Amino acid sequence: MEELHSTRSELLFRRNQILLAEQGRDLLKKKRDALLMEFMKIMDKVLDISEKLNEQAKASSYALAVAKAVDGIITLRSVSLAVKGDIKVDITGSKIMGVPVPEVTKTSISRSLLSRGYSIVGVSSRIDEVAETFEKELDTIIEIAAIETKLRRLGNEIQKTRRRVNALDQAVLPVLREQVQIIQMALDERAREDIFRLKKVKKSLEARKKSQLLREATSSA
Amino acid sequence: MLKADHGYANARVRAMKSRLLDQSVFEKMLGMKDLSEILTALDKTSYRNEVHEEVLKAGLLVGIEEGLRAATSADLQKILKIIDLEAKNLIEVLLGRWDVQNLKTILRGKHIGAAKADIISSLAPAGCLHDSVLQELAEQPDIRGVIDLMATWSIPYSKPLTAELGKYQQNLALQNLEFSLDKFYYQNTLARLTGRSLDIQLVREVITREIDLTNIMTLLRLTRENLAPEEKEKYLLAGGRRLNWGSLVKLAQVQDADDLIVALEKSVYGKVLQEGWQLFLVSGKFSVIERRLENQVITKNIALFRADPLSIALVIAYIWAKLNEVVNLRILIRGKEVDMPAKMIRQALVLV
Repeated sequence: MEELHSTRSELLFRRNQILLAEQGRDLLKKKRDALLMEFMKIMDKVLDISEKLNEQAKASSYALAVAKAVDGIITLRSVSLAVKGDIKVDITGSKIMGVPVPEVTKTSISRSLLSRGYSIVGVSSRIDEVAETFEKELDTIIEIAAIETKLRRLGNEIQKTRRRVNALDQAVLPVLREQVQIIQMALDERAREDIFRLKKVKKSLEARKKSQLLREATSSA
Repeated sequence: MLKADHGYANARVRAMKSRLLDQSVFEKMLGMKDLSEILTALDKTSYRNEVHEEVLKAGLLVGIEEGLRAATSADLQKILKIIDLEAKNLIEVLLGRWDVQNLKTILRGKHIGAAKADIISSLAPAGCLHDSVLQELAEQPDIRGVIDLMATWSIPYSKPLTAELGKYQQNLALQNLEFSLDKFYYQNTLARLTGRSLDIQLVREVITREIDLTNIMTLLRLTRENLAPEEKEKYLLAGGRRLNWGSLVKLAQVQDADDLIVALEKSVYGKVLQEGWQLFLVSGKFSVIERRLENQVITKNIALFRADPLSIALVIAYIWAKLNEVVNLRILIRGKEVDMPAKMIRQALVLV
């Protein structure tokens, strides 16, 4: 436990600390609100994209099911051997209210029919569609991954800020206020003691003075 | 026209035809909730034994598919045994497409440096090239090695590949090698199908119809690529049934898909293309047009059941009917597996 000096300077120091903590709490509350606004904005975007992703996943699974049924798994496996490609993703960083968030820039994964690597003769348009739907899905997955990371970082920061606000509101400030109260009480007590002591000294001085005067009066008489 | 007698084989095929599923079975299956109900329905079909055997080994989905494949393979083997040598040669011409696919698989695998096991697992158990030949080709270190070995063994497909190898080594564009194989397959097949016999004419009809379908779909798909007409011509196959080279060259000049449909309006494929185009306008997928065209081709090939009863027509019709039946069953089980709406499943089925 922190040692508490019941002094006026300590009292002033604690009062300054309360002021500082209150300012910090207000600032953190503002930061939390700003982050929340940003979070909600991104949240709407994430919901839209995840809905789009669900639709794309459904479309690609239907396309794949029909291609597997009509063209056969062996044909699909064979064609997949011809399709080779890298996915290039650039990740840079930016800051939202001081929170570092990733910015992902990528070139579109969707490719044209002739650049997939297989001859279009002997490969059905169903297989083109499987490739196309999965390329689109992959594009969306990368897009949503970047935004979700941003969202997670903002979420963590909001939680951290909320914890700090709560700590200031419910732990730091009450303790400081209590300490100020204790110091104040101690100082008041000390002041009262001083007054009492002074009164006592004054009384004894007066009594001494009175007895001296009495003594002088008796000796002169 | 000369006519071979396939009386015995045709009698057997007619008996086998009676075991093909009729439309009502597919209608019932469309209404079923899951794969286990479809499995129960398959109990009443000729697939029963193979499907049950495979389901025990591999589980429901893969088991049913494997069972269907095993039953079909057994059926085709049976047909190859009962037909005479001449008919067998003709049917093998039709099965030659699997050789092309297997060779493409090996080339694709070598192109990306895939493991031999991955390549072999992607090979189709059909075609005329023996498994051991394909495995040895898959063993080769690179595409050059594969083509060299094919040339050493005098496999005819080595010719177009050898001619294209130099270009491939410069630009690493695999599609040119693949296309040379496709082109060679059709040219070589049509060159083999010369003669006046009805059987040869029938197989030629099937192949040339397939070339028409491939060319139409190639032209349609290329409308999205903004290619010059002469570039498009490189992807076309000569020898179609209704669309000769001259008309293909004219069609290659059409830039938009809707104009292409209009240009083909008066052809034998016009009506089907119009129907497909209406579906395309809703879905934006060329595959719906392709499926409509396939529907027409399958229907025409299956209609050979009504052709000369003493020709190879029945055998060809049966093979198409059987393969179509298996594809329909696969569409049903794959569709049910991913909860595809019944309307979409129905659209993909070809019920003849």
